[in-house]
Amino acid sequence: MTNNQDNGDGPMRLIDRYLAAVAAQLPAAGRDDVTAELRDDIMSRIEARQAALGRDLTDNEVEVILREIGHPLVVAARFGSGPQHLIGPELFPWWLFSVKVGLIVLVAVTIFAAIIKVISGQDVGQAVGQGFAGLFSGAMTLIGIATTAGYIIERQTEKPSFITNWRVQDLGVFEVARLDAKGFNRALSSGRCAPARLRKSESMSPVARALSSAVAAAVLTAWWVGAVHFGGLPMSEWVVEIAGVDYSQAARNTVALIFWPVVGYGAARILFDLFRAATPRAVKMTALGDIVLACGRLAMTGWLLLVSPMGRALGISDVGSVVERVRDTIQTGIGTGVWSLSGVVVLILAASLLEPAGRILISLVRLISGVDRRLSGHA
Amino acid sequence: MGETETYEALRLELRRGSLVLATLARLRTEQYGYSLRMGLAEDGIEMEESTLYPLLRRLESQGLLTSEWREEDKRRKRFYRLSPEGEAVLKRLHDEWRRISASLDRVLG
Repeated sequence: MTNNQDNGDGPMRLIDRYLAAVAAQLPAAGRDDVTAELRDDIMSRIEARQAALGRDLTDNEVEVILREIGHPLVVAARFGSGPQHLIGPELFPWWLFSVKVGLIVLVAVTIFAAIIKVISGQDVGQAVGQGFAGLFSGAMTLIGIATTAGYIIERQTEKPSFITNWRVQDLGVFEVARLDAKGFNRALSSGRCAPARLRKSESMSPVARALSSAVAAAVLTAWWVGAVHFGGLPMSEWVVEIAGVDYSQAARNTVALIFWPVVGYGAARILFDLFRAATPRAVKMTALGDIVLACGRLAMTGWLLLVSPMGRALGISDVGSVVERVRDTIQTGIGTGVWSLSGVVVLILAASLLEPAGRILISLVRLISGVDRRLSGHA
Repeated sequence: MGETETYEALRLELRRGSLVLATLARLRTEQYGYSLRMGLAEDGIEMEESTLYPLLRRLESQGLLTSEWREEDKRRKRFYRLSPEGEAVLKRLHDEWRRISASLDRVLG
């Protein structure tokens, strides 16, 4: 009986190859220790088997022993000091929730983008096809980013405080994930677009509202800068055709001019929402931020309507022409049943001015009084 | 998942926690990896190399074991034994094991 100690024979070659494969997966520190210990174990197993059989083992029999010990990748991984998973059981529900919410926003924005394309004259089939393609790549990007973030967080010695320091009043934000297939069918059949508690923002805590807003702003800003594609083609390549008139060049020029202001607004929105989430009771600061952001929205929408190349292309030159166009569109639409598409676009833009104007008024009241009624139910 | 697979998954889960206790108990006397694995197998506790050796390293890094390399039978072997801290932890774990066992006996009837 031999100990198979000669480097030239078959079994030793197999063992060396096996241990080299294990060693290649191990960090340099401790590598020799691990392989030496494994080698001793393998040799002890071989000797015990040889003693039982009363003869040397064949290569195949040695291979069976090595296979019993396990694949080198698996064996080496067990010796690793870090987690043996990408995202562990503690973090996984957070990862899953983030991906679910991100996908819901992705689907909503993709549908919105497809509708805009169809309205602006693009073929329905092409818009839907591009929507699906964009949705797929967007979903893959989203899952990749979420997984990378989860991988990094999993390997921190201290987990983020949101995992342990949560409050019941902030749990409203997690109801977003209720919008599953069953909930969506129920919403469609009942004419409700979301669970009741989601529609009533008053029932969500200020922190939940701020975080939801931050997530939405982040996704939309990422889409605007081109980091995430929802609709296949970037906006600069869209064909915008309204009622047979090609507005593509005007739309592209408008996007180019307003690109950075929108990026700035998006970044400010995210920072402001995070501030709101951190200090939900800072009523006056929140009101002030709301006023500044609403002024930004008001200015951008006003510019879009009155000054931008798109506004000019739609035949708008001043406030008077807006009023006249809106009046004509409504009168003609109601009178004849024919609604001018370009008129409807002007109508939508004009109506969009009302939201920031209303927000400024409400926030002014909160700034002066220092009272936010939405906080009363979340003491 | 069939009943057999379910049982097997639950059995492994049940057994996992007991491996540390068995390993610490066996290392009240000095052992090297292979002899420890064989000793545990004789007592009915089978453990793969890829489970045992990382466990030994973890227990050593936690200060519950000490180890040293020595030559025996013309081969270098790493010998492990329980540290004083390991003995104290083993005693506490043994007490806890008896308490759990007694509780389960009452629950299971």
